[in-house]
Amino acid sequence: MSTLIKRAAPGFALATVTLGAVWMFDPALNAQPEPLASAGDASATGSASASDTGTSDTGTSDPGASDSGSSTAGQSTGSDCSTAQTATGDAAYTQWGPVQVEMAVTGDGTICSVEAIAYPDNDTHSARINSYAIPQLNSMAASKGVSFQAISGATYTSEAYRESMQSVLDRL
Amino acid sequence: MTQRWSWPVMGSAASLAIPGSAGSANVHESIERVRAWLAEVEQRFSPFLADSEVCRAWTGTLRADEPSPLMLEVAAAVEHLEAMTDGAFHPADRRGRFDPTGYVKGWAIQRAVELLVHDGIEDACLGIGGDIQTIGRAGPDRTGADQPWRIAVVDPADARRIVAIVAAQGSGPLAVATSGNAQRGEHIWGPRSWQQALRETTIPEPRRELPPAQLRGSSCVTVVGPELRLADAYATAIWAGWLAGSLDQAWGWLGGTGYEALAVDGSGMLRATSGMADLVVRAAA
Repeated sequence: MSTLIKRAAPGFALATVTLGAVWMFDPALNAQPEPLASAGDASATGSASASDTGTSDTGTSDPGASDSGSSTAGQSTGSDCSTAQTATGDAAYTQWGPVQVEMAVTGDGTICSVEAIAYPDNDTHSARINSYAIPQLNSMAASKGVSFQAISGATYTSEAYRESMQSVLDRL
Repeated sequence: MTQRWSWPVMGSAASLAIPGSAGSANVHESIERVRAWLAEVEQRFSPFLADSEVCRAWTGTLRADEPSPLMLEVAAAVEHLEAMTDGAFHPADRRGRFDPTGYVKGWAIQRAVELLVHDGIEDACLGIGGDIQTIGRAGPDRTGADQPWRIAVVDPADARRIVAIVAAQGSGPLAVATSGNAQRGEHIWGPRSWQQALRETTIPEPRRELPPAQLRGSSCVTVVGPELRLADAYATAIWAGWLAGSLDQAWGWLGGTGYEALAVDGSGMLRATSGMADLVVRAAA
Protein backbone atom coordinates (compact mmCIF):
# COMPACT_ATOMS: atom_id res chain seq x y z
CA MET A 1 0.00 0.00 0.00
CA SER A 2 2.56 2.54 1.08
CA THR A 3 4.75 1.71 -1.86
CA LEU A 4 1.91 2.27 -4.23
CA ILE A 5 1.29 5.56 -2.61
CA LYS A 6 4.89 6.53 -2.82
CA ARG A 7 4.97 5.64 -6.44
CA ALA A 8 2.24 8.13 -6.95
CA ALA A 9 4.38 10.82 -5.46
CA PRO A 10 6.19 13.24 -7.72
CA GLY A 11 8.34 11.49 -10.19
CA PHE A 12 6.32 8.33 -10.42
CA ALA A 13 3.07 9.99 -10.86
CA LEU A 14 -0.44 8.92 -11.27
CA ALA A 15 -2.58 11.46 -9.66
CA THR A 16 -6.03 12.55 -8.85
CA VAL A 17 -7.68 15.87 -8.85
CA THR A 18 -7.95 17.68 -5.56
CA LEU A 19 -10.13 20.25 -3.92
CA GLY A 20 -9.10 23.55 -2.50
CA ALA A 21 -7.31 23.98 0.74
CA VAL A 22 -7.66 27.46 2.08
CA TRP A 23 -5.52 27.70 5.12
CA MET A 24 -2.61 30.00 5.45
CA PHE A 25 0.26 28.67 7.43
CA ASP A 26 1.58 31.79 8.94
CA PRO A 27 -0.67 33.87 11.17
CA ALA A 28 0.99 37.03 9.92
CA LEU A 29 -0.37 36.27 6.52
CA ASN A 30 -3.90 36.51 7.78
CA ALA A 31 -3.69 40.20 7.25
CA GLN A 32 -3.76 39.42 3.59
CA PRO A 33 -7.11 39.20 1.84
CA GLU A 34 -8.80 35.94 2.51
CA PRO A 35 -8.83 33.53 -0.34
CA LEU A 36 -12.21 32.85 -1.81
CA ALA A 37 -13.50 29.67 -0.33
CA SER A 38 -15.80 28.01 -2.76
CA ALA A 39 -19.25 27.04 -1.66
CA GLY A 40 -19.29 23.56 -0.28
CA ASP A 41 -15.61 23.53 0.39
CA ALA A 42 -15.20 22.82 4.05
CA SER A 43 -12.09 24.87 4.38
CA ALA A 44 -10.67 26.33 7.49
CA THR A 45 -9.67 29.83 6.65
CA GLY A 46 -7.39 32.37 8.10
CA SER A 47 -6.58 31.97 11.72
CA ALA A 48 -8.95 29.16 12.51
CA SER A 49 -7.44 27.00 15.18
CA ALA A 50 -6.45 23.53 14.38
CA SER A 51 -9.02 21.16 15.74
CA ASP A 52 -6.69 18.75 17.36
CA THR A 53 -5.44 19.26 20.84
CA GLY A 54 -2.60 16.85 20.83
CA THR A 55 0.24 17.72 18.59
CA SER A 56 -0.69 20.92 16.90
CA ASP A 57 1.76 23.62 17.68
CA THR A 58 1.81 27.31 18.00
CA GLY A 59 3.46 27.75 14.71
CA THR A 60 0.36 26.63 12.94
CA SER A 61 -2.59 27.93 14.76
CA ASP A 62 -2.17 30.68 17.30
CA PRO A 63 -4.01 33.61 15.83
CA GLY A 64 -2.76 36.08 18.38
CA ALA A 65 0.92 35.57 17.96
CA SER A 66 1.43 36.86 14.52
CA ASP A 67 4.22 39.21 15.36
CA SER A 68 5.82 37.47 18.27
CA GLY A 69 6.83 34.28 16.63
CA SER A 70 8.39 31.77 18.91
CA SER A 71 10.35 30.25 16.13
CA THR A 72 14.04 30.77 16.01
CA ALA A 73 14.32 29.83 12.39
CA GLY A 74 15.82 32.36 10.07
CA GLN A 75 13.95 35.56 9.74
CA SER A 76 13.72 37.07 6.37
CA THR A 77 16.05 39.87 5.71
CA GLY A 78 13.79 40.98 2.94
CA SER A 79 14.92 41.64 -0.54
CA ASP A 80 14.50 44.44 -2.99
CA CYS A 81 11.88 43.47 -5.52
CA SER A 82 12.73 46.46 -7.67
CA THR A 83 15.74 44.49 -8.82
CA ALA A 84 13.71 41.39 -9.62
CA GLN A 85 13.88 39.91 -13.05
CA THR A 86 10.98 38.19 -14.71
CA ALA A 87 11.51 34.71 -16.02
CA THR A 88 9.22 32.13 -17.57
CA GLY A 89 9.43 28.61 -16.24
CA ASP A 90 9.41 25.47 -18.29
CA ALA A 91 6.01 24.07 -19.13
CA ALA A 92 5.21 21.01 -17.06
CA TYR A 93 2.42 18.68 -18.01
CA THR A 94 -0.46 17.27 -16.04
CA GLN A 95 -3.33 15.18 -17.24
CA TRP A 96 -5.43 18.32 -17.18
CA GLY A 97 -3.10 20.34 -19.29
CA PRO A 98 0.18 22.20 -19.16
CA VAL A 99 1.31 24.28 -16.22
CA GLN A 100 3.72 27.11 -16.73
CA VAL A 101 4.65 29.97 -14.45
CA GLU A 102 6.10 33.39 -14.89
CA MET A 103 8.01 34.60 -11.88
CA ALA A 104 9.75 37.77 -10.84
CA VAL A 105 12.74 36.68 -8.83
CA THR A 106 15.63 38.55 -7.29
CA GLY A 107 19.16 37.31 -7.62
CA ASP A 108 19.07 35.58 -4.25
CA GLY A 109 15.94 33.62 -5.04
CA THR A 110 13.31 35.80 -3.42
CA ILE A 111 10.08 35.40 -5.30
CA CYS A 112 8.42 38.76 -5.75
CA SER A 113 5.57 37.55 -7.86
CA VAL A 114 4.45 34.38 -9.50
CA GLU A 115 1.79 34.01 -12.11
CA ALA A 116 0.54 30.96 -13.90
CA ILE A 117 0.59 31.81 -17.57
CA ALA A 118 -0.71 28.35 -18.35
CA TYR A 119 -2.84 26.38 -15.99
CA PRO A 120 -5.71 23.98 -16.58
CA ASP A 121 -8.90 25.88 -15.98
CA ASN A 122 -11.62 23.92 -17.66
CA ASP A 123 -12.58 21.54 -14.93
CA THR A 124 -14.11 22.10 -11.56
CA HIS A 125 -11.01 21.73 -9.52
CA SER A 126 -8.80 23.94 -11.55
CA ALA A 127 -11.38 26.65 -11.97
CA ARG A 128 -11.75 26.73 -8.23
CA ILE A 129 -8.12 27.05 -7.38
CA ASN A 130 -7.54 29.59 -10.08
CA SER A 131 -10.11 31.79 -8.45
CA TYR A 132 -8.02 32.58 -5.43
CA ALA A 133 -4.58 31.21 -5.62
CA ILE A 134 -2.65 33.61 -7.78
CA PRO A 135 -3.48 36.86 -5.96
CA GLN A 136 -2.90 35.12 -2.68
CA LEU A 137 0.49 33.85 -3.59
CA ASN A 138 1.45 37.11 -5.17
CA SER A 139 0.69 39.05 -2.02
CA MET A 140 2.25 36.46 0.21
CA ALA A 141 5.49 36.22 -1.68
CA ALA A 142 5.89 39.94 -2.00
CA SER A 143 5.05 40.70 1.60
CA LYS A 144 7.18 38.02 3.08
CA GLY A 145 10.19 38.52 0.90
CA VAL A 146 11.46 35.16 2.02
CA SER A 147 13.77 33.50 -0.41
CA PHE A 148 13.96 29.77 -0.86
CA GLN A 149 15.95 27.48 -3.06
CA ALA A 150 13.73 24.49 -3.56
CA ILE A 151 10.14 23.35 -3.33
CA SER A 152 8.60 20.26 -1.77
CA GLY A 153 5.07 19.14 -2.46
CA ALA A 154 2.77 16.35 -3.41
CA THR A 155 0.10 15.51 -5.95
CA TYR A 156 0.44 15.73 -9.62
CA THR A 157 -0.77 19.25 -10.20
CA SER A 158 1.58 20.39 -7.48
CA GLU A 159 4.38 18.53 -9.11
CA ALA A 160 3.86 20.31 -12.40
CA TYR A 161 3.67 23.69 -10.76
CA ARG A 162 6.64 22.93 -8.58
CA GLU A 163 8.58 21.80 -11.59
CA SER A 164 7.89 24.99 -13.48
CA MET A 165 8.76 27.17 -10.47
CA GLN A 166 11.88 25.19 -9.77
CA SER A 167 13.02 25.63 -13.34
CA VAL A 168 13.06 29.37 -12.75
CA LEU A 169 14.96 29.02 -9.48
CA ASP A 170 17.43 26.78 -11.24
CA ARG A 171 18.25 29.53 -13.70
CA LEU A 172 19.23 32.11 -11.12
CA MET B 1 27.71 32.77 -6.67
CA THR B 2 25.59 29.69 -6.64
CA GLN B 3 25.83 27.33 -9.56
CA ARG B 4 22.83 25.28 -10.52
CA TRP B 5 22.27 22.21 -12.59
CA SER B 6 19.10 20.47 -13.67
CA TRP B 7 18.59 17.28 -15.61
CA PRO B 8 15.87 14.66 -16.10
CA VAL B 9 16.03 11.54 -13.97
CA MET B 10 13.59 9.09 -12.35
CA GLY B 11 10.68 10.41 -14.33
CA SER B 12 11.21 13.86 -12.87
CA ALA B 13 13.90 16.50 -12.80
CA ALA B 14 16.90 16.79 -10.53
CA SER B 15 17.77 20.25 -9.28
CA LEU B 16 21.19 20.75 -7.79
CA ALA B 17 22.53 23.99 -6.35
CA ILE B 18 26.07 24.49 -5.05
CA PRO B 19 26.97 27.89 -3.63
CA GLY B 20 30.42 29.27 -4.07
CA SER B 21 31.39 26.62 -6.55
CA ALA B 22 32.16 28.84 -9.50
CA GLY B 23 35.90 28.73 -8.91
CA SER B 24 36.09 25.08 -8.01
CA ALA B 25 37.93 22.99 -10.55
CA ASN B 26 36.65 19.60 -9.55
CA VAL B 27 32.99 20.44 -9.14
CA HIS B 28 32.06 19.27 -12.60
CA GLU B 29 33.65 15.91 -12.02
CA SER B 30 31.63 15.65 -8.83
CA ILE B 31 28.45 16.53 -10.68
CA GLU B 32 29.18 13.82 -13.20
CA ARG B 33 29.58 11.31 -10.40
CA VAL B 34 26.24 12.38 -8.97
CA ARG B 35 24.53 12.05 -12.31
CA ALA B 36 26.05 8.63 -12.90
CA TRP B 37 25.01 7.49 -9.44
CA LEU B 38 21.41 8.57 -9.88
CA ALA B 39 21.25 6.99 -13.32
CA GLU B 40 22.60 3.75 -11.88
CA VAL B 41 19.98 3.78 -9.14
CA GLU B 42 17.21 4.34 -11.63
CA GLN B 43 18.48 1.56 -13.85
CA ARG B 44 18.76 -0.83 -10.95
CA PHE B 45 15.63 -0.05 -8.96
CA SER B 46 13.05 1.26 -11.40
CA PRO B 47 9.88 -0.84 -11.46
CA PHE B 48 9.24 0.60 -14.90
CA LEU B 49 12.37 -0.66 -16.65
CA ALA B 50 12.02 -4.30 -17.63
CA ASP B 51 15.72 -5.00 -17.25
CA SER B 52 16.11 -3.33 -13.86
CA GLU B 53 17.26 -5.54 -11.06
CA VAL B 54 13.92 -5.07 -9.33
CA CYS B 55 11.99 -6.24 -12.39
CA ARG B 56 14.35 -9.14 -12.93
CA ALA B 57 13.85 -10.14 -9.34
CA TRP B 58 10.14 -10.36 -10.11
CA THR B 59 10.71 -12.64 -13.06
CA GLY B 60 13.33 -14.77 -11.38
CA THR B 61 16.01 -13.76 -13.83
CA LEU B 62 18.59 -12.26 -11.52
CA ARG B 63 22.15 -12.64 -12.65
CA ALA B 64 24.78 -14.71 -10.89
CA ASP B 65 26.15 -11.74 -8.96
CA GLU B 66 22.73 -10.60 -7.85
CA PRO B 67 21.06 -9.54 -5.67
CA SER B 68 23.65 -6.83 -5.72
CA PRO B 69 25.14 -5.31 -2.58
CA LEU B 70 23.10 -2.18 -3.22
CA MET B 71 19.90 -4.21 -3.48
CA LEU B 72 20.69 -6.02 -0.27
CA GLU B 73 21.43 -2.74 1.46
CA VAL B 74 18.08 -1.36 0.35
CA ALA B 75 16.27 -4.54 1.32
CA ALA B 76 17.73 -4.42 4.81
CA ALA B 77 16.77 -0.78 5.21
CA VAL B 78 13.18 -1.23 4.08
CA GLU B 79 12.73 -4.25 6.31
CA HIS B 80 13.86 -2.17 9.24
CA LEU B 81 11.52 0.66 8.27
CA GLU B 82 8.58 -1.69 7.89
CA ALA B 83 9.14 -3.03 11.38
CA MET B 84 9.67 0.41 12.84
CA THR B 85 6.45 1.79 11.35
CA ASP B 86 4.34 -1.25 12.23
CA GLY B 87 3.92 -2.04 8.58
CA ALA B 88 2.77 1.38 7.46
CA PHE B 89 5.84 1.50 5.30
CA HIS B 90 5.36 -1.56 3.13
CA PRO B 91 7.81 -2.09 0.28
CA ALA B 92 5.58 -4.06 -2.03
CA ASP B 93 3.49 -3.19 -5.03
CA ARG B 94 -0.16 -3.88 -5.65
CA ARG B 95 0.62 -7.46 -6.53
CA GLY B 96 2.73 -8.05 -3.48
CA ARG B 97 6.03 -7.93 -5.30
CA PHE B 98 9.08 -6.38 -3.65
CA ASP B 99 9.14 -2.75 -4.63
CA PRO B 100 11.39 -0.44 -2.60
CA THR B 101 10.51 2.68 -4.59
CA GLY B 102 9.28 4.44 -1.46
CA TYR B 103 12.77 4.33 -0.02
CA VAL B 104 15.05 4.39 -3.00
CA LYS B 105 14.59 7.93 -4.22
CA GLY B 106 15.29 9.60 -0.89
CA TRP B 107 18.17 7.27 -0.25
CA ALA B 108 19.65 7.93 -3.67
CA ILE B 109 19.41 11.69 -3.25
CA GLN B 110 21.00 11.58 0.19
CA ARG B 111 23.79 9.34 -1.11
CA ALA B 112 24.37 11.74 -3.97
CA VAL B 113 24.84 14.61 -1.54
CA GLU B 114 27.20 12.44 0.46
CA LEU B 115 29.22 11.93 -2.72
CA LEU B 116 29.54 15.69 -3.00
CA VAL B 117 30.62 15.98 0.62
CA HIS B 118 33.19 13.28 0.04
CA ASP B 119 34.58 15.41 -2.77
CA GLY B 120 35.01 18.33 -0.41
CA ILE B 121 31.84 20.20 -1.35
CA GLU B 122 30.46 21.55 1.90
CA ASP B 123 27.30 23.28 0.69
CA ALA B 124 24.73 21.76 -1.63
CA CYS B 125 21.01 21.32 -2.21
CA LEU B 126 19.74 18.43 -4.32
CA GLY B 127 16.09 17.71 -5.03
CA ILE B 128 14.23 15.33 -7.27
CA GLY B 129 10.49 15.52 -7.59
CA GLY B 130 10.08 17.59 -4.47
CA ASP B 131 12.21 15.45 -2.17
CA ILE B 132 15.19 17.50 -1.08
CA GLN B 133 18.46 17.05 0.79
CA THR B 134 20.69 19.94 1.73
CA ILE B 135 24.04 20.22 3.44
CA GLY B 136 25.84 23.29 4.68
CA ARG B 137 24.63 26.77 3.87
CA ALA B 138 22.95 28.50 0.97
CA GLY B 139 25.57 31.22 0.82
CA PRO B 140 25.37 34.99 1.19
CA ASP B 141 22.34 36.99 0.12
CA ARG B 142 22.76 40.33 -1.54
CA THR B 143 23.50 42.03 1.77
CA GLY B 144 26.34 39.59 2.30
CA ALA B 145 24.64 37.78 5.18
CA ASP B 146 25.15 34.05 5.12
CA GLN B 147 21.82 32.31 4.61
CA PRO B 148 20.54 28.87 5.55
CA TRP B 149 18.95 26.64 2.97
CA ARG B 150 15.22 27.26 2.89
CA ILE B 151 12.68 24.91 1.38
CA ALA B 152 9.12 25.89 0.53
CA VAL B 153 6.39 23.34 1.16
CA VAL B 154 3.47 23.86 -1.16
CA ASP B 155 -0.21 23.22 -0.58
CA PRO B 156 -1.21 19.77 -1.83
CA ALA B 157 -4.41 21.21 -3.23
CA ASP B 158 -2.72 24.03 -5.03
CA ALA B 159 0.99 24.18 -5.62
CA ARG B 160 0.83 27.92 -6.09
CA ARG B 161 0.35 28.36 -2.39
CA ILE B 162 3.16 27.92 0.06
CA VAL B 163 2.08 26.54 3.40
CA ALA B 164 5.46 26.74 5.08
CA ILE B 165 9.09 27.48 4.50
CA VAL B 166 11.48 25.40 6.55
CA ALA B 167 15.06 26.40 7.15
CA ALA B 168 18.17 24.38 7.85
CA GLN B 169 19.57 24.89 11.32
CA GLY B 170 23.18 25.90 11.39
CA SER B 171 25.12 24.17 8.68
CA GLY B 172 23.83 20.69 9.32
CA PRO B 173 21.91 18.59 6.85
CA LEU B 174 18.25 19.28 6.12
CA ALA B 175 15.97 16.82 4.41
CA VAL B 176 12.43 17.60 3.33
CA ALA B 177 10.15 14.94 1.87
CA THR B 178 6.49 15.12 1.04
CA SER B 179 4.04 12.33 0.39
CA GLY B 180 0.57 13.08 -0.76
CA ASN B 181 -2.54 11.66 -2.21
CA ALA B 182 -3.12 10.68 -5.73
CA GLN B 183 -3.59 6.99 -6.16
CA ARG B 184 -6.05 6.72 -3.35
CA GLY B 185 -8.78 8.70 -4.98
CA GLU B 186 -8.15 7.69 -8.50
CA HIS B 187 -10.80 5.05 -8.93
CA ILE B 188 -13.25 7.22 -7.11
CA TRP B 189 -12.79 10.01 -9.51
CA GLY B 190 -13.88 7.97 -12.45
CA PRO B 191 -12.50 5.79 -15.14
CA ARG B 192 -10.19 8.33 -16.72
CA SER B 193 -6.74 6.85 -16.78
CA TRP B 194 -3.49 8.63 -17.23
CA GLN B 195 -3.03 7.05 -20.64
CA GLN B 196 -6.51 8.06 -21.66
CA ALA B 197 -5.88 11.55 -20.41
CA LEU B 198 -2.75 11.81 -22.47
CA ARG B 199 -4.76 11.06 -25.59
CA GLU B 200 -7.50 13.50 -24.82
CA THR B 201 -7.45 16.69 -26.75
CA THR B 202 -10.24 18.36 -24.85
CA ILE B 203 -10.99 18.51 -21.18
CA PRO B 204 -14.10 16.42 -20.51
CA GLU B 205 -17.19 17.64 -18.74
CA PRO B 206 -16.70 18.06 -15.02
CA ARG B 207 -17.48 14.84 -13.29
CA ARG B 208 -20.49 15.04 -11.05
CA GLU B 209 -19.69 12.27 -8.64
CA LEU B 210 -17.64 13.19 -5.65
CA PRO B 211 -15.61 10.94 -3.43
CA PRO B 212 -16.72 10.32 0.16
CA ALA B 213 -16.14 13.31 2.39
CA GLN B 214 -13.15 11.89 4.19
CA LEU B 215 -11.37 11.35 0.92
CA ARG B 216 -12.39 14.60 -0.65
CA GLY B 217 -9.64 17.05 -1.22
CA SER B 218 -5.97 16.47 -1.09
CA SER B 219 -3.75 15.70 1.80
CA CYS B 220 -0.05 15.53 2.26
CA VAL B 221 2.53 14.84 4.89
CA THR B 222 5.88 16.58 4.88
CA VAL B 223 8.65 15.22 7.05
CA VAL B 224 11.72 17.26 7.94
CA GLY B 225 14.91 15.97 9.48
CA PRO B 226 18.56 15.34 8.80
CA GLU B 227 18.44 12.34 6.46
CA LEU B 228 16.30 12.18 3.34
CA ARG B 229 16.28 8.40 3.16
CA LEU B 230 14.39 8.40 6.45
CA ALA B 231 12.35 11.55 5.90
CA ASP B 232 11.08 10.15 2.62
CA ALA B 233 10.16 6.80 4.10
CA TYR B 234 8.61 8.39 7.19
CA ALA B 235 6.47 10.69 5.06
CA THR B 236 5.24 7.72 3.09
CA ALA B 237 4.53 5.73 6.22
CA ILE B 238 2.71 8.55 8.00
CA TRP B 239 0.58 9.36 5.04
CA ALA B 240 -0.35 5.73 4.51
CA GLY B 241 -1.12 5.33 8.20
CA TRP B 242 -3.19 8.49 8.15
CA LEU B 243 -5.32 7.16 5.32
CA ALA B 244 -5.90 4.02 7.30
CA GLY B 245 -6.65 5.73 10.60
CA SER B 246 -5.93 8.85 12.60
CA LEU B 247 -3.05 11.22 12.09
CA ASP B 248 -2.17 11.06 15.77
CA GLN B 249 -1.65 7.36 15.46
CA ALA B 250 0.04 7.67 12.11
CA TRP B 251 2.78 9.94 13.38
CA GLY B 252 2.76 8.96 17.02
CA TRP B 253 5.97 7.01 16.66
CA LEU B 254 7.82 10.00 15.25
CA GLY B 255 8.54 11.52 18.66
CA GLY B 256 12.15 11.14 19.67
CA THR B 257 13.37 10.29 16.20
CA GLY B 258 14.64 13.79 15.52
CA TYR B 259 12.17 14.20 12.68
CA GLU B 260 9.20 16.54 12.55
CA ALA B 261 6.14 16.48 10.35
CA LEU B 262 3.42 18.74 9.10
CA ALA B 263 0.24 17.60 7.47
CA VAL B 264 -2.48 19.22 5.41
CA ASP B 265 -5.78 17.36 5.36
CA GLY B 266 -8.50 17.28 2.76
CA SER B 267 -10.25 20.33 4.20
CA GLY B 268 -7.08 22.38 4.17
CA MET B 269 -6.37 22.15 7.88
CA LEU B 270 -2.70 22.20 8.69
CA ARG B 271 -1.24 20.36 11.63
CA ALA B 272 2.30 19.87 12.75
CA THR B 273 4.30 18.01 15.33
CA SER B 274 5.49 20.04 18.28
CA GLY B 275 9.04 20.59 17.13
CA MET B 276 8.13 21.82 13.68
CA ALA B 277 7.74 25.41 14.80
CA ASP B 278 11.47 25.68 15.34
CA LEU B 279 12.15 24.75 11.75
CA VAL B 280 9.66 27.04 10.09
CA VAL B 281 10.60 30.47 8.85
CA ARG B 282 8.26 33.07 10.26
CA ALA B 283 7.34 36.12 8.31
CA ALA B 284 9.05 39.27 9.42
CA ALA B 285 6.76 41.33 11.61
